[in-house]
Amino acid sequence: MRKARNISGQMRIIEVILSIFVIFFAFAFVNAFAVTPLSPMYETSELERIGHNVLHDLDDQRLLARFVYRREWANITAALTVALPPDVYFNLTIYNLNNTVVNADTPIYYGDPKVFAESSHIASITYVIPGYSRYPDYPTSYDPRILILQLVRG
Amino acid sequence: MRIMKQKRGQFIIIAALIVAIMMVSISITMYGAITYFKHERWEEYLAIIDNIKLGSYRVVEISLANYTSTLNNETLRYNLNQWANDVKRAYAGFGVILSGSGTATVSQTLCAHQETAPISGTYYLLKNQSADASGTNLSNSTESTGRQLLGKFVYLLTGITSIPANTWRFYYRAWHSTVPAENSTNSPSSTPAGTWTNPTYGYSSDDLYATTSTDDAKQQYGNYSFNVPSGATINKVEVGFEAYTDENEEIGITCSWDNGTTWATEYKSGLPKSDPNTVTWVDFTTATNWTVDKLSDANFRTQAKGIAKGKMSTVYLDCIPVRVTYTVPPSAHMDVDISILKSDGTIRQTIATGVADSGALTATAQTLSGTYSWPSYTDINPTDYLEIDYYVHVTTAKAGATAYLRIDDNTLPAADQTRIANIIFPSEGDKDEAGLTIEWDNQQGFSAANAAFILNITSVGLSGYRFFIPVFLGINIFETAWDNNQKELKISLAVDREGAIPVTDLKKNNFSIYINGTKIIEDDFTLVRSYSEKYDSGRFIYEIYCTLKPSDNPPFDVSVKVVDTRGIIVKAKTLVTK
Repeated sequence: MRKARNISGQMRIIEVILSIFVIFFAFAFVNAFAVTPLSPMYETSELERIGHNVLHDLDDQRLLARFVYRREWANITAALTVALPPDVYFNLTIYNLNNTVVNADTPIYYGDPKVFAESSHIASITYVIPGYSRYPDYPTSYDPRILILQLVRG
Repeated sequence: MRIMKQKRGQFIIIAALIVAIMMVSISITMYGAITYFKHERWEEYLAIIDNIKLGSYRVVEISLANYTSTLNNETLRYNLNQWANDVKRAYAGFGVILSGSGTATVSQTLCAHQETAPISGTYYLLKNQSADASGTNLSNSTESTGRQLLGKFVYLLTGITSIPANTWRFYYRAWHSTVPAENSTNSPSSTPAGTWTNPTYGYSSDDLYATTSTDDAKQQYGNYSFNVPSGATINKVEVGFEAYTDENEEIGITCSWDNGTTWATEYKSGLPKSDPNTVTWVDFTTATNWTVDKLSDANFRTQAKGIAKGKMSTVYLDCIPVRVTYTVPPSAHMDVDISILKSDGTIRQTIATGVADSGALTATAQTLSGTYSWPSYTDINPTDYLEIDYYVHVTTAKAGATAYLRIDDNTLPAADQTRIANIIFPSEGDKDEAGLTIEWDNQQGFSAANAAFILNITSVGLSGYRFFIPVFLGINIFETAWDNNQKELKISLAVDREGAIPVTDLKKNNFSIYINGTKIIEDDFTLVRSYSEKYDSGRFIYEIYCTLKPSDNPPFDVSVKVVDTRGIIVKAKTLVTK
């Protein structure tokens, strides 16, 4: 009688182990096929990546420095509007090294300002350009600008 | 009793279920967190690295553009140091450290400054920076021929062990003073043509007269025998006449500079009724661009003409001299002596004497130049100086004139300053300031005319409180091809940033290839560095050729693993279906 009880206990343990494996594999199996929506946690990173790419591409084509140092605010707005996805709103602020806003007179933005105020997922991209060389017309000194590009989904 | 036992078993099962759910939940959370930090955070840093790298190129461009106008060799180093500091501030919290490595050899430009060196004797300083003062003139007289010293200049060779051979270009901002004018008044000694009576009486003012009583009668005079030195500048040419008439007649005066072919506009003048005994001068300076040759006997002649006013009476000409005013500048150019000077002011070695001749000095300040082919010089004593002595070399002396060399004038454009370009001091570029050096093409050097450069940023490091990512390695299989006859599978692979330190020069043993889960041994595949215009941007392309067994056929589950020199492993997978 004592021996039978002991065997019964061992079976319980085996049942438990089997149950754990069954449940674990069930979760793993479902997880492998599940297409879960992207977490909002990743949204900011995604926008940052887009923003960096856009600014880098403009810089690589020597457009960004021209827009900034020649104060072509309309052109930079148009370029960002075209380069960014339509549902992404942006707000670009340009600083010099003294933290003075260079484009204070003309905000560079696209989209509803309310979205920036209300959204909890705003990506902020910092981009630095060292200067703008117009040689041989005339050379320009090293004079960096810091671009802060804020992005949010509309 | 049995029911009680079964309830205990159920409790254990429920407890186990809860534990299992907790484990799965924790696993999913951990997986998510690891994936996030593995990919998303690194992306952010990679973007910053790209920004800094592109910005660094721009800094070099701007610095070179500035160099061409200022000749300040420190511009590049200064701007890169500033850039290193500014990116640290701009990306605060990311722990950005911009650093580089390499060596550089830059051709220098030494400008003549008016500060003196602390060695015996008067030696001005040569500096590798543009003029920084209001300037001064070094001068010497041109009254005797030969080389006249203007000034001695030195450059301390501390830290420079050798000066390689190169063609130096000397620029001289130089001129000579204006020269006092001279004049020569000569009379004719020939009458090439004419119808006047006793025309030779017009040679001199002796109250013997050449005369005419015919309207429009002309008389030419020549052979004025001017002895104006060649190279003289003709300032003024005047023809004089001493004449009178019996009634109201006039006289016409003109001159020719090409033996009577072309004549200046005739000057007409009324005449007194008796000999005035003074010469009236008529200025013909603007008639032509006068040269010494045009005043030669072969070319120059004058002409007098009687002009009737009413009934023609007699016109009397006593003399018709010519007065030429001219200046004879000194003939001189600049040159230099070059030597190596000991710190005690004695010469260690004379390198060259009277070299780098400039063009001729003029009365207007000009930037003249000359070249000198510097031979290689080694084993330089660290306390020695490079000495450049500036001379004016007078070949035609001129008393009262002075030659000038302008130095250290910051109002002049850099291209007009007295300086020496294309000197190579190898150790100048090797200076490591604030831990930042940059590598550029040491053959190209700097010059105002050609500011091309090659910048090779070997690494951009980011270190901070969270991560240290010297480089990032990523791979991507962008193409595969299966040759069924040869049983060969070609895998085209793009490797990101392979060229950056420390991921350098990947070898065959860095790659592991799995086909359908089976590892391909190294003997069965070859690795070839390749190029693809489409995929090459910022990457290196490798092609892997795997020889499979005769029985192998698609589909192939292909997996490639790359281990870089730091032990970081990256993988890429693809499926080959045909």
